[in-house]
Amino acid sequence: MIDTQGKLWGRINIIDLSLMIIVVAALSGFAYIFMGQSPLEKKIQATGEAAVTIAIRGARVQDPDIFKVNEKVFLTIRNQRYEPVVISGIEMMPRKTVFLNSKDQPVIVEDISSPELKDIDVTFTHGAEVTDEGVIMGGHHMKVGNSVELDAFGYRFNGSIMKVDFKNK
Amino acid sequence: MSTPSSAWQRWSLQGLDEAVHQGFQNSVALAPLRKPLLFLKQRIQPWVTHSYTQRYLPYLSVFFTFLLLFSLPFTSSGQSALLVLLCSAFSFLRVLLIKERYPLGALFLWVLIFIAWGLVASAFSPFFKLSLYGYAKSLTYFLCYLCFLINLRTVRAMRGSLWAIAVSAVVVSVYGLYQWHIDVPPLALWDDPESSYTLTRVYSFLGNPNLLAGYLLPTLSFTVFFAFERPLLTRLLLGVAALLQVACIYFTYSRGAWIALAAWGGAAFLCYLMLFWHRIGQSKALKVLLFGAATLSIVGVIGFIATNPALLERVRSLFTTEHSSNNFRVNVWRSSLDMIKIYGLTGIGMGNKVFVKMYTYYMATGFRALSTYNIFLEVWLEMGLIGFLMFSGMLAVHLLRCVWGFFSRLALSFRLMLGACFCAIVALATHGMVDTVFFRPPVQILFWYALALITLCSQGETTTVEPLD
Repeated sequence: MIDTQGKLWGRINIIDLSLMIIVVAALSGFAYIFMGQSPLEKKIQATGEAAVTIAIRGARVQDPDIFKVNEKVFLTIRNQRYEPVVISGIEMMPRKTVFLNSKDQPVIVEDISSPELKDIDVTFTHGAEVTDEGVIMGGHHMKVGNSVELDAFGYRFNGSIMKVDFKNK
Repeated sequence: MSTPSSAWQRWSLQGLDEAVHQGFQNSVALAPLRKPLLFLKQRIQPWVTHSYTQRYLPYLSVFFTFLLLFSLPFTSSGQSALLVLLCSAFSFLRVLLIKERYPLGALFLWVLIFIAWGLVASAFSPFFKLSLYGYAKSLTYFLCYLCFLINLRTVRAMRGSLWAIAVSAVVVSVYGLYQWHIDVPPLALWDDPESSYTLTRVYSFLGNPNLLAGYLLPTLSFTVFFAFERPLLTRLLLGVAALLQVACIYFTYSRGAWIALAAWGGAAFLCYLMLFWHRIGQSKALKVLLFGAATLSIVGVIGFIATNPALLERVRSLFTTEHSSNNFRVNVWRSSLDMIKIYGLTGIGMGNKVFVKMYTYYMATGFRALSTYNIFLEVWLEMGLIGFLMFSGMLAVHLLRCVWGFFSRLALSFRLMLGACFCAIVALATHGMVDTVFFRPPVQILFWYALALITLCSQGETTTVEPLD
């Protein structure tokens, strides 16, 4: 089949043939994707931006300045940084407790015994997609109740998702 | 050549080596690459003839290859890549300045096409840029493979590289055993939370027990086969080195690696029989002794497991789906198969960045993963059906080439190295059925080292032939 000169059936050089096949295959690949034939196009129902609010409860933070709006933080997967997202909102509340006053009515007071204890609502925004599984952002399914890990310059917290706000582009 | 040998010769494509070599010389498509190189070579080579450069450049180039192999477990991916580039630069100079014949045979062509197919997979990828990033990684490994082909062409260089690997593996194992001695705490969640025994899983310099085990499997193979036909003292040293590595693999408690170790043992026994059958076959006592020893060691291993309750639990956990890490893998495999059903023909593109991106669309919520945890699924998913067939074929052809080598008239040193490569590939493929460390640089580079060594050994000089009996 291959002669001593490396020609297939005495006609075409085997290396030339292989490279030709690869070039043709690669070109048809580009065409295939360019024409939007990828199965992924059917899977993604909408593309846009999502604002996700997560709840970090009972965090011990002495210096609240480490939380910065517009900072780029990383969503992490299995201890590896995966995709940077932008922090778009931070609401930091001191820990509060409920007491009954002299009239047996509940009142909310700040827990002054541990001033470093904070409840934080962090909102981050990033491009997202919608599939039949839900809203997807940076390798994560953004579902209320799921927890995601945020890795920033000054902190790394696991938070539970409270709200996912998807806006179509 | 006897008949069985010629059958192996056909299946291992050995007979095509010369024709393919000619094909490379005559290829029109490669001419734009070959001609400028030849032109440069013809211009520059006269200047350097009899110079110090020409005399010492090969040493320098080989030295960096050794350094690369030695440093695998100690360097980060970036540092490894830097070493690979450095090594490639010297190797390129060597190609440019020194006249040598390169082993461009059928195996090389197969590897070349497999690597080139990555470009096709990237073209078909919905994430072209990310895929190119992954492709750059596989090109780096290919550079590595080329460096090995260029620099390890003499028996002396091969032996040097085996020493580099063995010494490095010993350092790694000794540190691993020290970690076991001091009950080192884990760096991440490796322990089975439901186990009634707490295990110390060692990770040495590599930072992850499974990766450590994956690294030690091929090094063990190279150490053991290297020990044959060495002087007695060296053999003893290498024997101790091998024992250290086995102990270290044991203390990683990596179950995938244990299975791979068993497969490695089987493969090594088989290789030993094929390599030395002409000696063993003649003496009945030797045969009885050998198979007796094999049976005894199997019984010994089973007995060892059965009498050690912590170990028994670990082994038993292999066969349940309740174990969290088994369950996790099954889930990831299932999602990966779902993706293969859709993208199986063309693949999703190269590299784990593409995988993670794509996997998000198909995963079961909560089972986030960075790869498929099976190298064959991974290659299929990344490079499509054709890529998968080429990868499996590449492994098969290289293994067959080893078997061809066992029965050929190659020098014993070469045949032993083929044995080492055979077992290393078997062990890596077995471990790769359940884990993904195969794609990490220390393991991956050793894999390419094995492939390069097979090509080099099977085209090795037969002039130093010793009689088969």
